[in-house]
Amino acid sequence: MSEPILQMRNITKRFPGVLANDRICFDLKRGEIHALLGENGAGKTTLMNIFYGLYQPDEGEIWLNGRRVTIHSPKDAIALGIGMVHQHFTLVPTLSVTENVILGAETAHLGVLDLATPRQRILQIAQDYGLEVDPDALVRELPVGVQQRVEIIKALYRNAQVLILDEPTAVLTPLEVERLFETLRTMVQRGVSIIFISHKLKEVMAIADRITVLRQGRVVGSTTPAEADEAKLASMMVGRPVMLQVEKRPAQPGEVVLSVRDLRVMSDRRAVAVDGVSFDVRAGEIVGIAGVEGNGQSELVEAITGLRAPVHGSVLLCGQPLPHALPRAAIDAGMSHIPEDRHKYGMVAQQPLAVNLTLSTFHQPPFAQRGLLRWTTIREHARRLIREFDIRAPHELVPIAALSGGNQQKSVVARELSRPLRLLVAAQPTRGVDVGSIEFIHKRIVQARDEGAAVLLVSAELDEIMSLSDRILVMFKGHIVGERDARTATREEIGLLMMGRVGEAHA
Amino acid sequence: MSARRLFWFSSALPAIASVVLALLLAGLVMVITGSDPIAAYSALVQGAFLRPGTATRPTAFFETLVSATPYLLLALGISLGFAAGLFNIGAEGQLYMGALASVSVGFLVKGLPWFIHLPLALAAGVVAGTLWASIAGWLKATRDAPEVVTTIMLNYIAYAVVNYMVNGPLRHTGTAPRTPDIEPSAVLPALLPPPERLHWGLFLAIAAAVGYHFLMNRSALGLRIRLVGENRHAARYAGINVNQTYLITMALSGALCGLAGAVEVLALYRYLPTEFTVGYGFDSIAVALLGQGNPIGIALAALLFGALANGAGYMQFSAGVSNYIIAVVQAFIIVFVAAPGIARDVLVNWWARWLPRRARREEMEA
Amino acid sequence: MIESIVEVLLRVDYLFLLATALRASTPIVFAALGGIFSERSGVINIALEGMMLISAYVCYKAAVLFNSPWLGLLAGVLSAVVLSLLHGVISIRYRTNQVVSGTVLNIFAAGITGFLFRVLGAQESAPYLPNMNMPIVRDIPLLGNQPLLTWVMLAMIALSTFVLFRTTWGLRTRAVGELPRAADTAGIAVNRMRYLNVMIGGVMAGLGGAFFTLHTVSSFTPLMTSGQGFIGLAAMIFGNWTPLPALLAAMLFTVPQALAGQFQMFGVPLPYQLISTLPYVLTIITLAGVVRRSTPPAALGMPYVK
Repeated sequence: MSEPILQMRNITKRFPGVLANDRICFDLKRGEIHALLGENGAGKTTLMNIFYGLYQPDEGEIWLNGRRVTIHSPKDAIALGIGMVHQHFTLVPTLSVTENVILGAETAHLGVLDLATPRQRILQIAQDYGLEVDPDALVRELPVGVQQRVEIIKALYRNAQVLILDEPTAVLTPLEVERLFETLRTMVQRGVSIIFISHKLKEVMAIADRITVLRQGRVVGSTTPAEADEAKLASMMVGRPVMLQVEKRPAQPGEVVLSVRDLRVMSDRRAVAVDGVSFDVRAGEIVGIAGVEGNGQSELVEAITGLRAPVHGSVLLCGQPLPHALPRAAIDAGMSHIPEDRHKYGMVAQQPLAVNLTLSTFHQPPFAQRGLLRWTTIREHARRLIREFDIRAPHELVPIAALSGGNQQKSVVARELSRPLRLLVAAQPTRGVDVGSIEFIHKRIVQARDEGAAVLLVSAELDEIMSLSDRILVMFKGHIVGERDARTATREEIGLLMMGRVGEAHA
Repeated sequence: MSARRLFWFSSALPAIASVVLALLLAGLVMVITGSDPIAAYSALVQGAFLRPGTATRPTAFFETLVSATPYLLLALGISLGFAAGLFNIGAEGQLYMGALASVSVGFLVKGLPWFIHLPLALAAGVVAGTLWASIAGWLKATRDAPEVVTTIMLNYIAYAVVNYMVNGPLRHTGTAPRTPDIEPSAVLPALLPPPERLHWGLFLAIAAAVGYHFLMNRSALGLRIRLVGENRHAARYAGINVNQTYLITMALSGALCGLAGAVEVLALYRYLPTEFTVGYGFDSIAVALLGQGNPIGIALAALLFGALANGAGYMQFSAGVSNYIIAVVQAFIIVFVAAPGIARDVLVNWWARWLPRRARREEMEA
Repeated sequence: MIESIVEVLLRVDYLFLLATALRASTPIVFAALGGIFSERSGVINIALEGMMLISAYVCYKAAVLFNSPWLGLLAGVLSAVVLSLLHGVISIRYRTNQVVSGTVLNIFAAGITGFLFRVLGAQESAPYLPNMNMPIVRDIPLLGNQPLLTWVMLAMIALSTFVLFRTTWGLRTRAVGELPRAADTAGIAVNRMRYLNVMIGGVMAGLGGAFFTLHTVSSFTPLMTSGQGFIGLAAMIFGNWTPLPALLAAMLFTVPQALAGQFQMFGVPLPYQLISTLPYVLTIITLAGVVRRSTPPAALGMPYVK
């Protein structure tokens, strides 16, 4: 460890109504892995987007290699040797790996693209760092794990000296995480310095040389894995002791509520996403579907909830087959759905909170009579849910877009749990929300189970699956490749199944 | 900020600023083309609002209302589409088909009392407009065909159909290509004796505006339309039949446009010429944008456009400015309405230059 | 009736028919190419119709004024580019819904050209651009004796295809229209790319507009573009946002019309008003058939906000 390659001094960034970064100081030494730990909304990504030139700081200075720099755009950042692997990949699905890697740093003769030379360099980088990839493949055909390799190659291709990785393990299986860590160590040995953004304590403890914790836009403290333990990091992160485990009684499964039979579903790209999937969910149990994102979970959920027509198979609710692609039928049959993409499906941003809390029921009594809306009832209902679900909103007529992510998600949960409920389909129910809201949402899901609802939980967070589920199904390449009892299953075993290694994960 | 002030700042003020800026810019065009904008605009106001009627000439303000009537109906129809995220650029074609159907019922059906014949003729226009718009609605709902292009295509087809009918099957015996006059029992009567032309269509349009208000703010269907317009994915998730909503909205939109066509021919022309009201359907897109989905706003915008259309003739006569300058005014209005930011930035820049000067002056005075 | 149709079908000069259709496709293809550049970069461009209209007028007026079709062409293309820049400002800078912006600019163009036409008149006839009727060239089947702009259109198809799929510019344009965030993080100025591509769209539409007043007739009439910009958009969709298929799609609209013209020439009694609707009807039918199978650029219609 030597002199700092990067120093960020008193960085402040304000967004309308939010102080995202409050006089943050952060430094990175040459050849170290420095983890930036904090829960969602703590300001980690904002800080790194400032460093990468995507945002401009309102106050503060950035020093790189002993010189003060101003970074106006990603172009400046790239020129300074900064690379970033974003949480949401920045790869163009319709372009090839090579085209994606060279984008913005093309070699061309009189404007005509040269693809052959970069292709050779990509193969070289891939070999040097153990990042196997086919340079000619279209990105949309690659699994997310490989896409991440492409992202890293993109940074190395531009000779990045500082690499920022934003939540890089969110899309990986435990084994792939190990492999990523090896790559990172190789890179460090070759002189690259790494900033590792995460909210996962275990991983930070495993890979980081130093850890800086952010909370509500401020630096809470810095430590090293040797000095800290998970419980200490957790309380630094949240500001109070955290329940790492969800409290719940053993399940008492009743009769079958949801039956999925031989379901086959196509993706938007017209490829088979779900292939011959069958399973049951009983009243009073939580069935978790584990798996790396992009293995057909989204399409499965959409087929069950009526958002997407399956090409084959059936979905039965309490023994009655549901018509295909008719969300109304699913809703009327007692299905609730917490969608994975809250902004696309879960809410109508500019509509008042009160409307969003009655999104699927406003047309029927008591909210409407003879086709006319009863605004008083709609507002009373909203006020009740705001109290009951602890939604922080000035009043029920503000646009839901004005609420924080956690409160938006709580509104979605409130709406879905406030209807008479036989089956709850919860897809990534705590994505992008703060710890307080996570705890609350978990509690309500367990409560729904205890009140006799069947719950299908889909999550990319293995910890969430492990702690909430009574039974775990693992999805890989459109198939259910294994089923485990949650009380006896281990992380390692589920991790192997998530990679499709059924033989190694012996029952 | 209270809801009322928010509305004022986000909707009303930019609309007014757009109109003012557009009038200024058109004035500039007049100066460039060698006319006197002050004389022109005062003549415009005269011709649109102030000139009294005579034995042969209708009262200016009433004529403005006559012009505003189809604008209001069409803009309500277009706004309804906007609410669902649909761009009904086909108001013009729906208007034509409505007029064609109403006139056909008006002169082909004979011997009915007025209280049956008139509603029947009006209904024919409404149905024709509905059906014509529903072609685009149906193609949007079932085939994802973009309604912007299909409604435009349907406009051209409607022109051709009317042209064909008026020159062929429905042509009257005289020299000019037009249909015969409708039966007196199908005429939508005037409110005042001649030469005034103000007619019952105005009340139909106002009733439509009130109905629009109730639909959008009080009914479940209106909320459904707005949800589909703002986020069709979430609407579908919530169990709303999005395609059916497109179909219903397009049909309602076409109904209002068809009604506009019916009113024009049954009250004013009383027959169908080859080309009438060319451009009403397009101007009304501007009216709808200016009105910003609010029925009162739409009514005021319709009144403004009616005044421009009606005052233009006198402006040309008395100030010698081509009445087509109105098209320029309208063109500027919608550009500013479409990008309120432009108007705002221009105004803010003016303020920014003006304010410091005033501040300095006040400082010096103090 | 059927006999006479068969008889006409036997007597039609099909090469002549294709040549007619190719000529008629010229403005449609220019609009489609303009749409391709604009939409490949992520900006919906409904305003092509208005750009063609304004170019048609300015081409005419400038050609008369300078007594040169070339200066007319230059001025016309410039006017269309100005309008496309306005589309860029409204939809990129001010993030107005791109369909609204396009619609507004169409009305704008109709209003301005209508006003100028009435105030400044259009009595004089404008000098024509040449046809390709030099020796040897004029004898090339299909292409000989075609308007210059038809040749330019064919050249533009080749050039556009090359630029879009073989150059840095094309790669960046496609990236910006598919996933602007990816382009941005790779150091590409997303909105600058969009402005420039929208303006390339303006150049194309400008060339298309010139066809109306510098080739077809030497005068201007209001609204003379008669929806060809929109038909061009349909051709673009049908061709899945690629140049050559867009030409084939355009021919799909113009060949039947040319055929109908032949029927009229041979005296088969068809009402001309209804025949004139043929391209519009075909456009609707085509859209109904292909939209579900086409894949527009993923970021089409979405303003880029960091």
